[in-house]
Amino acid sequence: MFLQLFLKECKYLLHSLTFYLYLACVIFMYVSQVLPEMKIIEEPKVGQEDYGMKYSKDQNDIRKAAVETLIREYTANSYTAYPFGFYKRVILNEMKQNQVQDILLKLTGLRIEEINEKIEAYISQFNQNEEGYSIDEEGNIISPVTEEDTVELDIQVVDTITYENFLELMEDLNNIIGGGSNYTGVFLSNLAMEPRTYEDARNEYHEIIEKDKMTGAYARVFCDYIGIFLAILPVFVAVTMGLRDKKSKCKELVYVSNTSSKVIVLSRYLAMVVMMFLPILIFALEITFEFIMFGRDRGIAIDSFAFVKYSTTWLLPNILVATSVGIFCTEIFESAVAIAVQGLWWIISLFHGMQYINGGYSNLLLIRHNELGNYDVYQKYLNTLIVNRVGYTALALALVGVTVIIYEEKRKGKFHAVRTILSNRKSKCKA
Amino acid sequence: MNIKIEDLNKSYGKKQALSGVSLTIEQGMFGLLGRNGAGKTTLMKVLASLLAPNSGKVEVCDVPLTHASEIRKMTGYLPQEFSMYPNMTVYEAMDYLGVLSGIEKSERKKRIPILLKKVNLEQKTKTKVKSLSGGMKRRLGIAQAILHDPKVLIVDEPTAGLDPEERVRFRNLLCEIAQERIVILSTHIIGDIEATCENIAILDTGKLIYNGTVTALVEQVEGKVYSLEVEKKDLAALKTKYLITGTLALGNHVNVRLISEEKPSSKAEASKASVEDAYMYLMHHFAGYNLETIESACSFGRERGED
Repeated sequence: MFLQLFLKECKYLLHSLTFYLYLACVIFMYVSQVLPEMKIIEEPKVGQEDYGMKYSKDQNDIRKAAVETLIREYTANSYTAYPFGFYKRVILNEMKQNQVQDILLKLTGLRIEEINEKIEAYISQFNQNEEGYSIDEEGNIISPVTEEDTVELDIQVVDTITYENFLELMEDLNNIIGGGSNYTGVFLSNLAMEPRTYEDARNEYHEIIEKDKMTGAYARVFCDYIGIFLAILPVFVAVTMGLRDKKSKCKELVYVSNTSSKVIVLSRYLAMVVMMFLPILIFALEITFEFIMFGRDRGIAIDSFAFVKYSTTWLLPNILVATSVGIFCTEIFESAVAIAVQGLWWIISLFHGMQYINGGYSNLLLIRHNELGNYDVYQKYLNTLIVNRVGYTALALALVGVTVIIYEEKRKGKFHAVRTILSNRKSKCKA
Repeated sequence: MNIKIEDLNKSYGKKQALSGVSLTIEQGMFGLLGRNGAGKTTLMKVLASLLAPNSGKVEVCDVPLTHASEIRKMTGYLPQEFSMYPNMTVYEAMDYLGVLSGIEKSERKKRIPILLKKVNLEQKTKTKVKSLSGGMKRRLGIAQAILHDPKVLIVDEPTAGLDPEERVRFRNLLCEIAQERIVILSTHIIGDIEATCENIAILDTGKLIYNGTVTALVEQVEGKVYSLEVEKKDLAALKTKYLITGTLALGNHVNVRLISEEKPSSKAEASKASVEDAYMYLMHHFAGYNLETIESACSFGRERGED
């Protein structure tokens, strides 16, 4: 009977507008976000024009980039920060601006007037008479100042400041701004970029081919993008399905039926999970097919199951969690409050997870890995990843279990939706 | 096969919805009568295991109410407002509810067409539920309620809002179904009870004020019902003295039907007592309502209930 009910629930979903909206969102995100990232990497060749950029781990580069960013933010009195994961534009008062000025002085050995002079000199080289500019055949504006002529902004961190001193000053600065600024943690590490060399590119290519069998690296990026949406979209479907009995005024009919609460709740939950996971699996198989073709042409061994493996272990828990939150909250409140709950969790997870955007994982619902390859980081934090996914799967199943209990109590008239309790209280107050 | 209810109490917060109700319901049609808010729906929901009582004992065919899953197996329920997923067709709705009732596919294939024919919906199998009229929906409701062949059928206010023809058809259908099972019909429409039930219970403000046969109820008021023609201006004065159960305007005069222990005037003629007279008499004597309240309650019943 479970199977028959499960199939009926799947069929019901195929008549649901919310499910088609979910499908539309997933397809749009797949086409616009995922597919462009699935361009198969070519083996780098000596003498290429460029090999892309990478984050610099050089302490001097980081210090220089931090100072330049600080000067820009100080001058505009507009500091970017992500306190509690949310974007915030911070404007400092005069006292705090003076404190920042002191830090700048310590870092550069320059007074603010001297810094301003250097900035003006730097900017002025680009503000020449319009006549100096020309337009090439492709319509690009050619500056009269060539790259070779450009004078760099010559503001350096003084030699007496060690990297440890620098980090201490950055922490002070971060506290002045209110936390989560560009001068702390991963945000600071990611300030400096540098061009990749041929060796960098070649090593990365071989790592992807040998350690990740190509598809592993791409599957993580695939999961990174799709995982963001799968941590929120299923809740809409779950809420719609959860409210359908109430909306159709047939809640009591279902309540008095012979079928156990366990079968009703589980068949509905499983139908939603399967139907929402199915398109993801189709995408995964489609990309896998592309890679199989590519591997066959180039004689490269690929992992044909990587996309399916990653999708199942990495993405499925997101669907399980968002759907379980949906059915759990909807059963308790008989309203769309689950969307707010999951939405809030999703936003916090999304922004807080920015610091783990290239791996590292943490205990957040959203697992990020927005860099092709980065196999060492993946391996280093694999246990964290496993604990995370198993933990969230267990949480989802626990929520479903509690939902079964709540559903049974509601059927017996022993538990009423929280909204109903509140409205009863309201009516009593009126009386 | 019966339902035993002993000292049943149910309250919503401070509001006592059922108060010490004791009742035995045997096989056949059983009418549950009472004004809106009397506690009928609460009692029906308790019997359908949709509400947990605060105290008391209920056994449905010897199964205590605490065994909810067994109660569900032997009970069919048609709620006051029957509704189903609007985009499902009649057949799909029956099939879905059949699965929920644990009926195997082959059995569903056999039973659904039979039941749809029984409720005269065999031509509507592919019609969407949202396109059905009120009467058709109720008939679909009754078909789904007996789909799993329950021993007990609970129908809550099934004829409210139906046109006279649909109402008669519906009553006949219920009588047919009641031949093999217990059918509890809850209503505030006296005409429904008159036409279908021999055994009834009357609830008022959660208390059972009558439990017995319709005949016995009517006997209580036999010889006390009179009809009298008076001028319109005298009607108000008459209302303060007697329990008026019906009025019929005739130009400047009004033909009044009233209940009195003694003949009210020499012009008054004795009339045969009806269930409606008996119900109003009962409410007046046992529930202690004033005459105007009773009359307004019964006028409502007449408007909705008389064919």
